[in-house]
Amino acid sequence: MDETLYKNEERIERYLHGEMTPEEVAIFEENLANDDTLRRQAEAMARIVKGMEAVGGEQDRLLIDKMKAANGKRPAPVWWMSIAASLVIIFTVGYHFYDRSKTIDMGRQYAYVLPAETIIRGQEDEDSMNKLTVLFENVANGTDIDYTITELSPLWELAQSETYNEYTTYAPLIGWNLAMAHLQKYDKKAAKVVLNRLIEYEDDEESPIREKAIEVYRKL
Amino acid sequence: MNEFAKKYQDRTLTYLHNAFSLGKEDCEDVFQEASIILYQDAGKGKLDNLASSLYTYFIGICRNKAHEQLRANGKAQLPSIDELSGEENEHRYNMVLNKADKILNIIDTNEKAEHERSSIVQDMVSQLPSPCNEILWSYYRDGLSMKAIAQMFKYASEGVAKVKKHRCQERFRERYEDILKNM
Repeated sequence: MDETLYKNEERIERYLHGEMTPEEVAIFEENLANDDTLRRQAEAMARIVKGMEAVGGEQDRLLIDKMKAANGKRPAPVWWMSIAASLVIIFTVGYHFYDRSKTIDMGRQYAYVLPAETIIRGQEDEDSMNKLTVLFENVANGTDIDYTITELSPLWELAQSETYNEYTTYAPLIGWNLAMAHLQKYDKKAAKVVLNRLIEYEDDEESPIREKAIEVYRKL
Repeated sequence: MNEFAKKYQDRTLTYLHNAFSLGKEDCEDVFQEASIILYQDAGKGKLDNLASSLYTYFIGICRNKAHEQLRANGKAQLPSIDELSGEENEHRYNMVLNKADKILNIIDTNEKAEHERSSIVQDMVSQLPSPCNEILWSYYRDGLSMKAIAQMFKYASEGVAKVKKHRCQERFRERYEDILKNM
């Protein structure tokens, strides 16, 4: 190994890492102008640093974007994990993450099980029906869930009240969609409260909503 | 995440084993947990303004998790780990970038030549052969110490890794200068 090249390299690294005294910095920078070998080595090292920053920075940004996109949709695809590693995820810190994704998926999948149009037949107040249709579509599409929960929660209370009102007919469907919306927000506790009340409210044992509510409740 | 994990899994497991004396299963646990944290941090937007490399950030999480694992294993005497905090790493990396700019300013090429040279170097660093690929990227982009690089890529010692790095830099310089000459 060429001793000069090696010593130069150590000097350049000390300069790059800010490990030189001000006097050493001044001498080093002066040498860059006069010492051809030092200058060529320093240029190559500086260009590696800058080149890697440009290329690596772009690669990192792409990876981060992919991770962010995957975060917004569903759990990260984990095909590279072994079964044992997957179990580690489930039973240690990953459990929360796995459970969250599973619950949100359940909320979305079950939202399609009881489509709004099969139950709402337009016999009640049209404004109320339109409002519910929009809210139920939000649940089915997984959009505006926070807003949908805020809107459906009082309607769920109103629909169950003893006094007949424009939402009474839709009470089971409101409860069902509210529960699915809570699941999509990974609020299992709130979903279970709604499902429990829905099961009690819908006492006809052959009711499809009751049957599905029991099914989901058991899964939770 | 798959892409990231596939690229960095082997080297990280080797590093965790050699630097922290952790068993295979513990290393895998640490890697999995750190991967999940990285993924979640990305979702929370914590990586949006990352000053260091993504791997620098990730290996920092791995180190914290490895320390936790050692404590859980009842190992009071932690091995000597050559590491910096996330903030120190970012500061160090910014320092290197600034000083590299200073060197290039002192050398002072014209704007057109500067653009061409940057472009050449970006192609070169994207196509480095092994082991230079691993060593130079780990040192210059990820800010790893030579000791950590030796532990990560199974070199007998820090000295061996330093010699390899020196040869890689010289090969890079020679090739870079050849390209410039032939332009």
